[in-house]
Amino acid sequence: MTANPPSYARSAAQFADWLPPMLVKELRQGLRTHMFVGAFVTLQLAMVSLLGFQLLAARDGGVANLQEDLDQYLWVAIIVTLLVLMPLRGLMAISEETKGGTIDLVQLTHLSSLKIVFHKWLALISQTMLLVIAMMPYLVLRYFFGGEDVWFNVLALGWMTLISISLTAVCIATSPAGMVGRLVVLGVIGFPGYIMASEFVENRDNFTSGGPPVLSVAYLLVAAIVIALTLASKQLSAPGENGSTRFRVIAIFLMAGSIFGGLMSPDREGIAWIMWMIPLLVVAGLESLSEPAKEHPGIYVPFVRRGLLGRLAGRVLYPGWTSGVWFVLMLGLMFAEANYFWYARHLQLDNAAQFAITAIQFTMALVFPAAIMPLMPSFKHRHWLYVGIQVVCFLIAVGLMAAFNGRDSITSAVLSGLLPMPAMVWELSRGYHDSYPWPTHMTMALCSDLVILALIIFHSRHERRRIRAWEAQASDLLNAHTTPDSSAAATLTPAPES
Amino acid sequence: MDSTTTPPPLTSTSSTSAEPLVRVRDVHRLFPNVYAVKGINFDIHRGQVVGFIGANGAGKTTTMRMMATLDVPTRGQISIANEDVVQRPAQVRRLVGWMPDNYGTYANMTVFEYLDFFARAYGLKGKDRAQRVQEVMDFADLTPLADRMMNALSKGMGQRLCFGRMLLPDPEFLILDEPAAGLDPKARMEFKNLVRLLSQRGKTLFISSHILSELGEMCDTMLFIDGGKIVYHGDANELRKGSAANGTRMAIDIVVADRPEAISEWASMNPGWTVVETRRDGARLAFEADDPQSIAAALRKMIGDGLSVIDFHREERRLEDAFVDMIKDKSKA
Repeated sequence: MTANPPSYARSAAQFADWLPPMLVKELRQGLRTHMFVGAFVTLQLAMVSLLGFQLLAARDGGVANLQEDLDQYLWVAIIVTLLVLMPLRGLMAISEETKGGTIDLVQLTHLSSLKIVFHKWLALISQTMLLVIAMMPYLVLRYFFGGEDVWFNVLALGWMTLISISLTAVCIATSPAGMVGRLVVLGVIGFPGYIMASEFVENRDNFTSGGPPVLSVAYLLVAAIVIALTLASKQLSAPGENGSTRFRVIAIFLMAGSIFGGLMSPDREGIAWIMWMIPLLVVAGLESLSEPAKEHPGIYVPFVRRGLLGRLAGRVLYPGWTSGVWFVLMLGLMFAEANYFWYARHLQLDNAAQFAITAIQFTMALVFPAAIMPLMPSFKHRHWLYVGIQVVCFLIAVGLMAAFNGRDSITSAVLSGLLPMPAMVWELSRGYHDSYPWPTHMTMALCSDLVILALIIFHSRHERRRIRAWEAQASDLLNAHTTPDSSAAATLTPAPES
Repeated sequence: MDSTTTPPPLTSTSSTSAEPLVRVRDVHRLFPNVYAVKGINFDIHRGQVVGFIGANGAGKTTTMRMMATLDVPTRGQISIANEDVVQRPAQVRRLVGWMPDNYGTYANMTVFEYLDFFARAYGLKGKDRAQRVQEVMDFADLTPLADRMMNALSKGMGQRLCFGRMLLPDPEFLILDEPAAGLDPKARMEFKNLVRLLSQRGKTLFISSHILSELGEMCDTMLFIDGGKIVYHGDANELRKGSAANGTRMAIDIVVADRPEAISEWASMNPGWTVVETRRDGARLAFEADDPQSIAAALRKMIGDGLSVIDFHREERRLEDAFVDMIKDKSKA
């Protein structure tokens, strides 16, 4: 008789070998958490109870109001579970690894930061899917016993699942930030989310008929997942791993996708595609202009290997705020062009030029903090510094608007053009009326933009020198590996310390 | 020792080879506002157990993190088995096992699941994985704990688990940052046994601590770091002897059967002796010579002078004292 294997050996066989390690680990942990078990049991109980009530109401006949109320409760329960509880679990996904000190241990294995983040997300959405699948039988029963529209239910549930998994990705991306940062991001997403959810619960019947532009919304949600997971992996990346370039390349592709979708859309839905670029630009600006350069010659090797073109690409894609400025300007130019072509196609050419100018002003508003942030090198929380400068600029814009209160004058045109954020706000609010002295405003704004760029170039001189030194080190390394004695590592010349 | 010069060759053990496994050359690490490591140099040979000692904030963890590819030197070079930690981190990671001072735990996870996860993450599959996890559990005495939740482990058990995790990929070079911190005496003994076993298996260990006595028993070689610089690199006994040779006095514990104050009186009348501490049953004296002949002569004289000595033993010079003396000498120099 053979002895039974120990219980731990049996648990090893629960997950197949081909499953990613992080997914296995997260599922093992996640399925045991009180939040998942509680949500699962509560949702099942709610479904059974609601179905029971619905059956009773149908048997008694003519209790339409009760059925309507029950239906409302059901959707509130689903929304809270899928759009609040499940995504919120992502908030701890990375912070628990960094706080617990386990992230170093994981990084020393064969798992890259992208794999870690992607599989964590996969584990969380697997649990969401488990909840959704467990709800399906009730939706079918509601069709037979409650006369509900199954197609509507499935469609609504499908959209909510997609939104839920996008929100989960966003929560994972904010997970490495401090608690305040996480709460701010949640507030930014949560408030419009609450309004949209309330709107859905109140006006469910209109959902399928006059719903949102499906393709562009689906693109937005998928783009949000991609960018959020890339961002999260960037923040987890090991010293030799270049998460910044990956993030920037993906952002450029997503931007190009938006432009393509916008220009290909036959009707006004195209503007939705183009407007999706705004959050992408904001995230790109915040992330790229707040990050320090990576002091790791290995990161520069792939660029240096490609010669002059590689080094030129590096000026936009190297980690660090210096290249981040050109990266954001490049994205801004794409945004301005998309605006121009879309408006030129659907509206008048004059409007197209004006929208393109406003888009450039918006980009300059995003870039502006890079001209000031180097003056505060000891400020540790660079993201907060960036946000703080933007908030101050916005308050200046609001103050100027309040001070002039619609009175057009040379003074208002000069003052509003002094900083990019007020200039943009002014352009959007004044709508390019003929009565406003636009030439003065534009001249002022252009001069201000040039000064900002000059300041940025001046402040970045040390950083550029260091980048050149790292490029030289990378070049040394490449040469060392191509020489016959490749086993000997190259002796690195130190980069200048700023 | 000048930290910027090439270190002298280490005392080699029978299992070491001429080619060092680890080379650290002129390594600096500058954080914003903190210069943590200032141009350190040393070699570690295969099979050695090296103790890395320094006060809190001396630069121990920073150095170890750089060796484990978790941080990057601002300047200088670290190579492990001729692989540069900056240029070829993936290759280095295959050779290195890292045990941090604060071992991380996962909620809702058993000991076995933890090891199984890391075994998967190291690319082990199927029977190989099961076999390796079982080997590690047996080696670190974790099998009885396999089904226990991680958050229910004691500090000692947790350290053993972390130790086991480190061994999963069978690394050649093990870096242990303050492994014995916070352990009770029993867990400390178990840990020392594990280190001894690994050393017997030919592994190279680099162990940090700020408690010198525990490293003195385990390590072939000591590396002292102070203010980001290597201040000593050599044998523990050499350090003790070196300090004694520099005019440091020998401490001797004496217990007498009758009046303990008689020892103090005797010491005050005999040149070369100083009372360090008086006790209920005797005293601790300092003697200026440390050669056996002088000490034997002193004991004969003590007995000849009528002291009823029932215990007389030389105190092993503590590494802590030697270290403090050495730091003082350095600062004077």
